[in-house]
Amino acid sequence: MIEIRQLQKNYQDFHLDCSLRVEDGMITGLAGKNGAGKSTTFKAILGLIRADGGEVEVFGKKVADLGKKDREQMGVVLSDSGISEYLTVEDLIPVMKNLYTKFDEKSFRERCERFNLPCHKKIKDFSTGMKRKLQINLALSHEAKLLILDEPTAGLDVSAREELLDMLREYMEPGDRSILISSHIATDLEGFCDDIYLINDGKIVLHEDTDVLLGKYGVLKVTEEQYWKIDRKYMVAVRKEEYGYRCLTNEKQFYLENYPDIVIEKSGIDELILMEKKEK
Amino acid sequence: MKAMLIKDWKLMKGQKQFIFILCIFLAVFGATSNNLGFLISYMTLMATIFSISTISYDEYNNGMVYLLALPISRRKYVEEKYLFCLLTSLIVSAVSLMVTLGIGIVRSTNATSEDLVLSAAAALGMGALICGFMLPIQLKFGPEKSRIAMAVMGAAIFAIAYVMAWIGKRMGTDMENVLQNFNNLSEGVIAVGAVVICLAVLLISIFISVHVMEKREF
Repeated sequence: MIEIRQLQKNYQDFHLDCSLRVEDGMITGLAGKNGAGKSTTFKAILGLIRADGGEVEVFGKKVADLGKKDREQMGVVLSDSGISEYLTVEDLIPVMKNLYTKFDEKSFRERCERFNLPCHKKIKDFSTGMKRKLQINLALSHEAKLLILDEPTAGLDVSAREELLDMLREYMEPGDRSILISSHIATDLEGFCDDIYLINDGKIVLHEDTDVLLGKYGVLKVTEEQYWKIDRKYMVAVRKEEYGYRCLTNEKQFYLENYPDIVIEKSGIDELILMEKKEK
Repeated sequence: MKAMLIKDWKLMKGQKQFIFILCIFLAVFGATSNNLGFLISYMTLMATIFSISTISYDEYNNGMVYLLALPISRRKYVEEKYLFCLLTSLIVSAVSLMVTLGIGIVRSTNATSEDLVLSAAAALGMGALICGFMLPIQLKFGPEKSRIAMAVMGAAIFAIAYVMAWIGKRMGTDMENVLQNFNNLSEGVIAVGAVVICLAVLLISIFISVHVMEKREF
């Protein structure tokens, strides 16, 4: 669905160098701290910025060559932008009908009720969570083949987040659809994505299937003395702590079997992001 | 394009206070003034500027980014904006003309139907010129900076006119005579000339606006 090959984008104090793939029928997550390059990558996929190098293809076509029909196959949620806030939900319906040939008004209205979105209130008077729900509703309303969701769960409470993720799972049921999603809430990605990319300072530093990430990665908490004694070849990142070292490994089982006396904890995406922030 | 026209119409319709004030002005001025031609011009130009302001509503809270992530090309966005603003000018000038013609009959003012039709046509031409000058500036600089850009452009036009008059004087050309020559042209020539100027300004303006939008990054 999406193929990014060595996408380059230079800003004054930031350089993006990113490659990633979103396969058909897959949910791919993009994780990283604020300012890591997630939104820039999304904008490049949507043709909102010009790349300084590399290639971005969606549906097998270069982004610049995507036509209206192709764009209709994409549903979008952006972290820092939305539809004109001086409109109401009711105003949006005829706009969407004329924008998307497959706009499903009935299911759109049903989801508005489910999300408690008032139809006659201006969007600028919505809460952050309501605005986010509206964007998600719009993205789901026209049978898109690809959803591009930049922080779709931001501003949502726990139950709304769960409800949204369930809706996205339902959306994936036909089997030929894909999602590229970013979130700063790691648990959203861990329980939802098939594979995850980790981006840091504009570079993809890790790509793993979520199962592998959760099954094979772990955190070792070792003293200074233990650190110098153990085999360090499976350590992905290391951070100095007061008690010694906190080490991220991609072979948790190796350390469980060979070093039963050291503390080994489960690792998640949060751990990966945190470790990437510090020295390697 | 239809979707964007509907969006802009809904945006304008949402600004009820502004529309209400315009209606009040139309009623009060129409009931009391004899200068009905001015009423047509005022209504048309206000509506044109109001329609151009839909760009500010699109830009509000970074909304342009989302709009262009939808199935709307940058070129189509620009074309729609021109179409919408010109349609608004046309509709409001036509409605104002009808209303003033009605007022003329009821109040027996001294304005002839011909005068009012000419006023509406002139207002429409002015609306087109305003679109031609303001839309590229709005698209390039955004709602805030475009005010400064408009002021700079106004000053530049004044400076150019002043310099041209000064050069003309130095070369022994009497500008008053030049302007007088324009007055001597037949109405038909003036009308055709005005239409040609408006169309030329609009075409150049659309070309610049498309270029501005296609270069813009979000």
